[in-house]
Amino acid sequence: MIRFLLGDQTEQIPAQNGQTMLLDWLREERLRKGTKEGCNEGDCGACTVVITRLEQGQPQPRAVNACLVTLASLHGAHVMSVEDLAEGQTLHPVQQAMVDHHGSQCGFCTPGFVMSMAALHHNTAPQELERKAIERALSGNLCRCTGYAPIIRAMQASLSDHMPLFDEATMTRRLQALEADCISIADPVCSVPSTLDEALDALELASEPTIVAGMTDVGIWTNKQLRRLPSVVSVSQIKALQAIDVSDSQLSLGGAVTWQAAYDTLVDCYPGMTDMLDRFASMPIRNRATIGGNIANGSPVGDGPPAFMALGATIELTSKAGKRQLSLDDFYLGYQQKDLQAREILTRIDCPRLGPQDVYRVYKISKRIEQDISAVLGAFLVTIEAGMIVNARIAYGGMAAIPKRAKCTEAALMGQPANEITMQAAMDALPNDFKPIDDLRATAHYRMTVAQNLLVRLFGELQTQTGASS
Amino acid sequence: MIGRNDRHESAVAHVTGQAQYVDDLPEPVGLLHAVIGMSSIAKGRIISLNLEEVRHAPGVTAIVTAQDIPGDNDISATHRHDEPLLAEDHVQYLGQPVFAVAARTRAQARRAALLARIAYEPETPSIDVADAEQLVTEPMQLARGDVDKAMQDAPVRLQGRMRIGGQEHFYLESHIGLALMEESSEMVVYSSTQHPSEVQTMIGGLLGLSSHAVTVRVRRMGGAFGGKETQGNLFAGIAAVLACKTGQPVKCRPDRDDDMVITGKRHDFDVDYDVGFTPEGDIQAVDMTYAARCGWSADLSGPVTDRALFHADNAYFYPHVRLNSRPMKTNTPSNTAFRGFGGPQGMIGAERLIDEVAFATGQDPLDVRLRNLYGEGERAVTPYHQTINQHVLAEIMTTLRVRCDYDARRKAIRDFNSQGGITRRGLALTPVKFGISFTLTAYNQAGALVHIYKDGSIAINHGGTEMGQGLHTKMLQVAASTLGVSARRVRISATDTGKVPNTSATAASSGADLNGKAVEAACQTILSRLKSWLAGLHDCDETTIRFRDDHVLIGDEARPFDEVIREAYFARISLSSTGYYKTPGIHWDRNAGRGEPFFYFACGAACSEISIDSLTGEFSVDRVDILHDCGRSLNPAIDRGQIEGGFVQGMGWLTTEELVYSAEGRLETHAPSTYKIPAIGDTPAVFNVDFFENGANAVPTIGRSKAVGEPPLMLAMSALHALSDAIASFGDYQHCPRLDPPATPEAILRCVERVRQLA
Repeated sequence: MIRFLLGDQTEQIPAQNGQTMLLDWLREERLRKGTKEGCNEGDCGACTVVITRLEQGQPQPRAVNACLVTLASLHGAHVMSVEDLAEGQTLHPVQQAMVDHHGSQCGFCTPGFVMSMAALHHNTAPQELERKAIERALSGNLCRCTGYAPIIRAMQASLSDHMPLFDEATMTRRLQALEADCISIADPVCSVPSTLDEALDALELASEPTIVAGMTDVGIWTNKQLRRLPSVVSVSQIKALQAIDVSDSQLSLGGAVTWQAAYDTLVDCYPGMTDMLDRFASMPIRNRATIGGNIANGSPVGDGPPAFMALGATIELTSKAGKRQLSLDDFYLGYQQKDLQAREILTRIDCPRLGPQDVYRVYKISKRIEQDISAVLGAFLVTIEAGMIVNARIAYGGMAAIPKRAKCTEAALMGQPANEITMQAAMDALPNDFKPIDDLRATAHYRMTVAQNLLVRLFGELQTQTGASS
Repeated sequence: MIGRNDRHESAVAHVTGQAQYVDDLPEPVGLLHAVIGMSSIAKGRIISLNLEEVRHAPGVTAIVTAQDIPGDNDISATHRHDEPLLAEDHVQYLGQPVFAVAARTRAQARRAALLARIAYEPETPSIDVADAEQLVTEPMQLARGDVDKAMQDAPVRLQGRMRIGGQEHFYLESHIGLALMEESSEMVVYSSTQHPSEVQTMIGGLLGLSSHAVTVRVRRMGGAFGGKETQGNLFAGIAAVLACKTGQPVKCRPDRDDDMVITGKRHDFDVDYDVGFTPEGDIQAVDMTYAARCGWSADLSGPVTDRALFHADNAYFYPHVRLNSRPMKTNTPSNTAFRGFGGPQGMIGAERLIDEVAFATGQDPLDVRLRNLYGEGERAVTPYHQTINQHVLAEIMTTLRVRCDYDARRKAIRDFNSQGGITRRGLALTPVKFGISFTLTAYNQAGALVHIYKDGSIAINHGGTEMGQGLHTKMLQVAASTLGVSARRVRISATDTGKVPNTSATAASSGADLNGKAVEAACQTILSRLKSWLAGLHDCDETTIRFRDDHVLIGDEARPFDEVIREAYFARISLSSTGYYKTPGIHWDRNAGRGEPFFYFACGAACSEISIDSLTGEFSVDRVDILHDCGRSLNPAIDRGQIEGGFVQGMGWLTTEELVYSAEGRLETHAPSTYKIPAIGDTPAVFNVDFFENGANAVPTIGRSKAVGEPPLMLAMSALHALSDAIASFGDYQHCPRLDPPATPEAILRCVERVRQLA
């Protein structure tokens, strides 16, 4: 049985219904119609709910898209939908502020906004939030009526009235009790293992298994393409895959670490990744999508792979046959082809730490700044000693059928002074690395022009960073 | 009360999730879910339609094709009979509904629809305006003066072509219809529509029923923006046809992607322009042709392209002018109403002319705008021969110019850009003048129904629909103000064709103007009955009786409203009334291109400052200042919401919102993952909105207010022109960038490259 809490109730769902999406279940089975379906692909946020789990022993509420959350993935969690927010006639501060500041017009996006706002409100001290923090938390909620201005005003105003979503101690007890009742689920249709060994066993037994974690892409296969998955094995409850380890030499992230869970550590270790992390999907997606999923998915426009490739990352793949290490560079073989076996789990990614001479930058370029798929993503690691480039690792997304290193461009930089002549040589070399395509996001011409121009941006930053003369 | 910042009447229901949209209504027993099967090619003949596997799929109860429609297979909004509900032997766009399947669950119906086998004999489609050869409806011409001579005489003349992109509505609530067959073949339909009376008419036609047998109800929509003026007919129609066939209730709610593929959008246009002017920048002659991608059927393309011409002047006087529309038939979704209804595309053509003249004469575009504004006398006459009676734009623009420190900021930006950096900044101040009234004169009428119950509570109903714009809130304010009671005493119920008949679409920014007057009239009818009775009772003059603050003032006596009402009931005074209104004085002769189609004009101006990254074309809108004329606002908080929201929606249209069709006519941008409306970070960092203080409407609208639904969208033209201003810096401001919308980062970078090459 899948066990989770919905508001005050304990829910028990047979494992064979584990693939049902939370949004459909809330609306159709629990008649909670406040949570809306806007797009059914995690882009509009109308279905946002708050899921709370114990993280490092503390209950951590996170806004997520109910359209991409399976019931199986709620095993051991607490769910709040908009119906749980007000206490009788007393509105939650974010609800009251939305009313007072005219933050709803048609009202259809409003429940989703209110849930994202409530999660932000809970996690924020009662002081004025920076505009940027509001944008970061609400970029996954689309509103077509208000232009967002009154919603921003409401969010700021709501902070004067601090009211936690729940009492921490009570919620901790409830979740501890729930966790104690939650045993691993091993069902042919839907497994939720607690350990890596259980996961490997489940994979062994299942026919045509799909390994899932955040479901932010697989959910779209099922919601939009109506694909039937004979068997899913959810790895998001495996503690070992959620580990974040920082040493002097490297950062190790478990495969099931979510982008949001990794955010602070990634920003600490690699400040040059910050802008990309803020533009990577949206808060509700970052709360679910995992680092391992982003890598193993193999999309040519995924943002993680080039960013990690430039760092020189290696990945660990685990199966019944054992573990193997692989340079991320060697993982992508061709369009949607990877060096990954059917029953193999991406368990860890290791990234070297930056040295004092290293300059690392990731530039994401898309039609819309927030929550958009990249037209081009360029990731650059350049080591400069005495004005000379002694090492360069460059990778791009959106420029080929796979995320890929720019070897010719790197060669044009290596051993050269960090000046304009070198920059021009690198720009000239780039077309030897990539033959991008036209699609709905960008033309090949734009992709190539921007990819070259990102070298200009990089050299501009190299100058300010290192003071190297041109 | 009128003029107060009452909150949206559903605000608490919105934030608690209690507000019901059609999909949230309790589902009736036996409900079936309908899914539409679509054409997979853009043009061709259907050779065979094999639905056997669909029929035998799990849960399937019924299938309908064109042959199963009991009445007339047509949902053409303009009654041209060119829009079948379901395709017959030909398909005309990719996504055209061919059949519909009803199953016990929506998931079953979705899976079943995929099993259809349709064979086509494909024909070559017309996808772009440039490919199109056929008109989908009659074109229009507006002309005044001697254009050919004035053009020849003009000292300077410029020609060009502009492409203007379309726009997906992206209402957060997709289309939906729920149909229930009641006794004696009566049909009750819940539809997400701006135009319940038209849904009623269409369903009557499809089923062969008279209008009195079809009731359509709309409590609220989750956004519409014009996208639910006609496009809801399809989904309500499918539900009704299947409900008729099965005798069971049927709901039809398309998946977001299907909604985007099937339904029409804002028209994209190709505009050819020819402008003659003096070296001082005075426009002498304008000749423009607006060709629109209308899609496979006429829908509202006639009135939309007409309105493009009505606004091809924006705020400017053209001494000699000829404007032509070319509504082109293409094998794409049938483009439709969208906030502004062709007006925005018309205006953006005018603003291109201004840009061309400004660069050619070396002036600040703002000065060119000001010198070409409409004026008094013969300079007050539009290309359709209507004389403008209230001139507010010169004052609005010059006030805004000072208030937002335009001149100093423009100089600072030019200094900044002269350093030649990668980041460039731009600034522009543009006006909007938008004509208020339906150009189909008959639509300018409205009805209302007001009941006062014995306990003193009041129920109002009117022909307008609530889509988020706050219409119902304003109507509550009108009723409360007129009856002198507090708003909490008044309740509004779902728009219902059984309560107010023959309604117009809630469109053309007219909702509050038309229905407000109708609600007021209904209230006044009841008031005059009450006053007449009270005057007799108290032997006083009717005119001395006042209804105020939930009391009735008769001489020195103030009696509670509900007490008076209770007595009125026992005195057998009718406490219920309809109200009716029609806009006075307007007329329009389309063939002659003459008349007074508009009751008045709503105006405003915006100044936008942006910055672009010339390496990538990415941009940000850094500051926006708006001065807008809402007349005497019925509800400033709601009107501010319309202004802010309209601006951002317009900014999306002109920047990141790009519709991409493949050569085969497949819409590639059919979901929010690929079609990018503004997100929260796109909201201008500084966003100052002010109301024009001297804006009481010169004509007698409700409370002397001015319509505010559509006009603010066009304030976003300032953002496009600010981008253009920044790009011009790469050519030392010598060349008009000719930045076509949508100004995506790619379009901006392309334009930067172009200007650099010219320099």
